[in-house]
Amino acid sequence: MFWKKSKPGQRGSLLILTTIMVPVFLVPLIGLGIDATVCYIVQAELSAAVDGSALGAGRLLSTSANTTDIATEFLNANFRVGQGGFWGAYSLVPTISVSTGTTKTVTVTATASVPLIFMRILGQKSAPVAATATATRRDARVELVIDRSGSMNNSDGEGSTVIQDLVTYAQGFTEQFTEGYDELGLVAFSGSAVVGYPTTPWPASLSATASGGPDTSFYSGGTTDMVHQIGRITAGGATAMGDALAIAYVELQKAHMRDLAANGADTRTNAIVLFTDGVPSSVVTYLNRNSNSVISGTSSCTYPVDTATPTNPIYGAVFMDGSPIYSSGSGFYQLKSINGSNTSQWYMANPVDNAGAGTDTSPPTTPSPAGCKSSGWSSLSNLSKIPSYDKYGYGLGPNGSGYQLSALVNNPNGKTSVYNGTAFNTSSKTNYYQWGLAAWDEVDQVAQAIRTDANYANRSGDTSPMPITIYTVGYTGNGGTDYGLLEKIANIQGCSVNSISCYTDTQQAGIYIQASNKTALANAFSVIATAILRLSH
Amino acid sequence: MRRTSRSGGAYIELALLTLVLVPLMLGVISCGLNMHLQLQTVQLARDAGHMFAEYIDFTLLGNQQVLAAIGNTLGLSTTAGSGTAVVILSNVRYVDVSACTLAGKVDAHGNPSGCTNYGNWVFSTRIVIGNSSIRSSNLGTPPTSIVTSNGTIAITDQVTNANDVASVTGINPWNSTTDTGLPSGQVVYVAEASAKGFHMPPFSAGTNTYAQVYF
Repeated sequence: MFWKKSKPGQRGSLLILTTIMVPVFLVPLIGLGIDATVCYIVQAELSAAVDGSALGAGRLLSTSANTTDIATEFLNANFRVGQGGFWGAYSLVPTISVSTGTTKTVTVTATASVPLIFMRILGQKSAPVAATATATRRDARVELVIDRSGSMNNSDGEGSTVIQDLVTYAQGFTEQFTEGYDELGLVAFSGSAVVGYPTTPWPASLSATASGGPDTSFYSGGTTDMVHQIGRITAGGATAMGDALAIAYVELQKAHMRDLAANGADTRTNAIVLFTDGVPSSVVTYLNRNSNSVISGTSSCTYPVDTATPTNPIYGAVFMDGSPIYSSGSGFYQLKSINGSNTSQWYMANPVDNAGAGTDTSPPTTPSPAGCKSSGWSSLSNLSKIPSYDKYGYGLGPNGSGYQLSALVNNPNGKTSVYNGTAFNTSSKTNYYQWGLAAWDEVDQVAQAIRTDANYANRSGDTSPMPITIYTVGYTGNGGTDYGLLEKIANIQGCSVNSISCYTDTQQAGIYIQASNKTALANAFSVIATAILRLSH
Repeated sequence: MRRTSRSGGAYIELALLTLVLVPLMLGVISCGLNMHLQLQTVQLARDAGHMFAEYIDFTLLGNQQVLAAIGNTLGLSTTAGSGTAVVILSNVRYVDVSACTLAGKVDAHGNPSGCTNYGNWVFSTRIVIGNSSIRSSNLGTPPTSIVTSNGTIAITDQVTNANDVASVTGINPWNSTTDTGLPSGQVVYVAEASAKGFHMPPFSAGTNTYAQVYF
């Protein structure tokens, strides 16, 4: 039924028809398909070549490399005209443009001709292909803020400890920046924070000649460069997140003022990268601050009220024990000096909970009772209330946006927030739940001050605020962290936690990355390095 | 008989046409499949190199799995020696006086001394994902004994081990006279990908595909 009988005159017509159709239609059609596919492959190869060229040259934008030259070299190395694998493509013509400024850009455009195999029968001997890629890079000033609290000694479940992983990835992160061009610094914190790099003595002064602040020698190969300092870090103690952020802010300002004085302008992008595996569990305060002393009149402290210019300040780190919601703590410890044998190198290897950030430390605890007790720590009963400010003057409440945004992850107590509905009350001086709220609020208020560059008005000679972006990494495998707080710190675009907005569109928006394992932690640092450098296309 | 003879003519026509059309069709299919494999290989090398140059650590299994998902259709596996594809990632650097100094291979005047790879390109990182028997690197292969678990090669091996020398073409080391080339201390990221080609003799010999990108 399907095979229709041919009429006598039509027999053999299929053979004739096909004999005509194959060379006239089928072969050209197949040829067109093959030629088009070849062009498509060469186009893909050229795209990959310009991609490599742009990104390769983009990585080197802040070095001594001649961008146009190195981009051309990368392009020629990737698209080897006249060699196998490129289908005989010829006439590679690159066009490379470079723009300078805060954000440096390299754009690579290339065209090439692809010889056609079949279509030349119809007079078309070649076809042009083209591709474009753009890479950008920014000179960066980065303060890396590392949590080295006791929980970092936990196993990562893959054969090493989290602190070992962190050291490896933080060193890798550091090496991704360009020695001699980018500026990097390090703050490590447990119950209090210390500057890990540079290792020079740490004054809080913001003058252009003040030592410290991120510098360009972070990967010099010397034994005190930042890579070596990170390598010394060991873990132990509590989590003074607010103190660490406040010191990081001071450090960035020092470098900014130094560059401003040297160059007349400062166009670097400023970033703070905060890594934590936990939640705030320490507040560092200036207990006998002249105008806001909280040392009780009935205490045994020698200096209940300090002079207006700090002479005998009592810097106390108040520790909360366990996990939120906090129910216990360890009173307050006076900060030790970072001078003498307790160098920055020593502090990296010894996680002292009450390390002083520099020369601005408490009076000695001996002879008794120079501080408040001879043992070096004191009960909170020495206080009249929870202070209104931390050591650097940032509020401890009752702002509330820090703790009300709390959203705990993997909390061992099964809690989802550090806030149980009882509002902050400064008079509850011995209540560690209240100190917890103060710690959350401190972190929030320090972060907000950083993002708004609140100290701009106090920087003599400065002409414009520093835009500072905060990036946060929360490792969730060590008893949990608080993504609400970390998103708020980073000011994630469009973020909302507990039905409260944690994003302010007038401030720098950062990135928060939650890492649950070793791989995610490694990638978090890679993503942030790429984001800071804007190494993308 | 006459009718039968006429019907057979059509079969003969069909048989003759088949002799032409079937090989043509098989040739087109094998050619198309190989081109498709080549295209995927280029894309795999590009994606791998892109991530590698943006500091993704491919010694970690999680990241290897991401790459294996990208190269899934080529048969890329995270198990060494398995699959039908391979991705080879390398960092290469040029051994100049700075590199010799970093390794402590200079004399009192700061000139290279015992820095036997001086003036050569060498590997500083090598990571292989997939089936390494598919193809070896165009740049060469550093001895596995000097490659650490995180893919890096110690600076001493870089400047002294003759087997760590890499064959790099197209990128020039820093020339302080013309201020051109790759600045001292910088590395080049190289991604190579290769996959088993489509094998259907005599139309396709199964030649492996290959792509290489410098970042």
